[in-house]
Amino acid sequence: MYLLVLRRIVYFLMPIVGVFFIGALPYLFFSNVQGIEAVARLLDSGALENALFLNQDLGLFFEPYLDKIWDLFINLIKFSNVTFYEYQQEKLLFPTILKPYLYSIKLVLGAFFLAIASSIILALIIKILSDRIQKGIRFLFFSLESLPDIFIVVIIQYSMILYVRNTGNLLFPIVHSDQNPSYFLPIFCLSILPTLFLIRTLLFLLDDEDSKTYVEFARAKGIRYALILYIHMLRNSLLSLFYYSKNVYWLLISTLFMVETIMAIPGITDFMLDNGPTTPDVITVSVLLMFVPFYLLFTLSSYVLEYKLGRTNEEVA
Amino acid sequence: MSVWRSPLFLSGFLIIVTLFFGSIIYSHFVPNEKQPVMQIRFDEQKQPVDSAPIAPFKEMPFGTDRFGVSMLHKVIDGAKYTLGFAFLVAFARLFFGTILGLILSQLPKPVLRASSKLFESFYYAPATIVAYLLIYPVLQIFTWSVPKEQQTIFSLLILILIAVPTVMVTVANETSKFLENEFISSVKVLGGGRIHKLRKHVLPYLKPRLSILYSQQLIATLLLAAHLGILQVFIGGTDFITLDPLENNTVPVAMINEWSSMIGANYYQIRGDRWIVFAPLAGFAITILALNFMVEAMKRQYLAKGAYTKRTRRVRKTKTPVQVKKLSQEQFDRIMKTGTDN
Repeated sequence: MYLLVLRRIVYFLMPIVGVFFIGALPYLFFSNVQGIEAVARLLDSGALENALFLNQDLGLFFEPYLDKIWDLFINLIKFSNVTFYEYQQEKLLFPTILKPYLYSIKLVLGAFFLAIASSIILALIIKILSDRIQKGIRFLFFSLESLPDIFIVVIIQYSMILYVRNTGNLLFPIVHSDQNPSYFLPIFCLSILPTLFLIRTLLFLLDDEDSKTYVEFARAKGIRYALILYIHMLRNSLLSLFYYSKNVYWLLISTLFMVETIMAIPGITDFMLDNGPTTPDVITVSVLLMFVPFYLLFTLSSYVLEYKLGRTNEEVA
Repeated sequence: MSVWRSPLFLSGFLIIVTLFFGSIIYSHFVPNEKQPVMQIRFDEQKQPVDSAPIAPFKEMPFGTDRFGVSMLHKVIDGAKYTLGFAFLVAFARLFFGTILGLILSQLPKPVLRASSKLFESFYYAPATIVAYLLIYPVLQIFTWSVPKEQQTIFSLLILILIAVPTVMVTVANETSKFLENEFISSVKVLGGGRIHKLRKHVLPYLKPRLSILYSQQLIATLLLAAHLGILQVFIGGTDFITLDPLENNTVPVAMINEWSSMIGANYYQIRGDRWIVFAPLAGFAITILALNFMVEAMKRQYLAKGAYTKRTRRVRKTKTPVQVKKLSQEQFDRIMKTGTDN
């Protein structure tokens, strides 16, 4: 029993440990990571024109790598702050990171809920259409899902520009500025790929549900198909949909980066890209900030589901 | 039915092959020295009307970039670099990932589970940011202390290494799940060793899955390359061109016509001369679409139930309703008495 609990805890902590291993990777490959920061300072202060002299060896440096991981680990356990350097001043990570972090969290959560709501509505609509139209729509959605995320973001931004050019009024701000924060368009761009993914998954699950006996029974009793679909099948497949939220999270995070870069949004990935090369700790902390809340929520609720339903999440990839 | 007969797979495959080999053949006949250039456009009266960048569908099919080179030429010429690079990286990822995954699958179960949990973090940390964190300093900050070839090799290695853990864990999990099959214990009883099991049973099972994984890694590599291009990290190598010497206006320019660097180097022009960005982006979109077609077709083919065992062609029988026999009174009586017709 103790062993089981211990094993659970170890497995639970493993991905979080993995993030530390990723964040410290520059120390594994570069001999002189501190040098990058030092040079950035000198460049800012005007003492240097370029970083050409910086001596750096590439290779595998295991000792500083493990030291760094351990250092950061101890630091975070003690809740001591990480400092980083930006625009000629030493900054503390913790109040500074919260602003971009909260912005990104708003975008991600908004996109997440938008994706779930719209995918359920669209999937239900598609499901009651006739077979031939369904086939066509499924193929269309599949093709849309295959488009690279840059393409989608750029096209949406550009179509907004076209709209402004032709009609003269801006529907939504396409680029972020502090006076005029842009929320709708980034959330919309972010939610497109997850929505398409969720529609595909939900349709797959609903198709699976179609062949179950309770559906046949209900139809034999003369209940309309749409009614069975909305009430029973949807309820049953939503639970299975929960296990796919990992993939949705992954899609959201990888698209978030593109949206933030293209729409000039000062979010968390932008923060990482600005300060990551000089201070690799920033990457670790930011990835942890994005990842841990989701991971806790996901794992705990999957344990609860497992306890209630008596099945494991192993069977769902 | 082999996957080669599926129209979805074939169309995707044909697009990829045409792009790649078409690009090689094209650049054999039209090398970069002979590239179509139009810096100033004249109308019928030989009056100059337009200068580079020239908009698409006016003499040049996809317009020109700001140096007057036809975008169509650049995109076709660049296909072989981008695709070839992706083929190479995806293959290396798969090669190392499969070998390590097979080794990992032979280790005890707790080790396998723990490491698959550990490497799950590679799935959550956005690959682009990790790649940028490692490649950007080498290519842009301390360029001086590392020779050019070493820079290229290093960035290639990073792009490969970044996905090896995920491929490895996928392969290891598939293998260990497969090894739980009942017939594997029969193999053991009959005297099959570890190597025999891997070679004769696991590899044939993994082969179709690996081809799916390969296409997926191709897509991931292309996306990663495009993302890095936007971040001004060019795979083909970076050159700097000073546009106005007096204003110190220096822009990064890709050394070869590689798609991702074409997007990245010209991204600032998207609001003015959008076709310069849209042409390579369309190239990416078409390639990834074609690859996804192939993945989907292969998934339908290989991952269907019972794909491992030999499949017989199933002919769907049209069900005809059972004919109602017309019975005479005599036959009816006999059936009622004896229970059979004759």
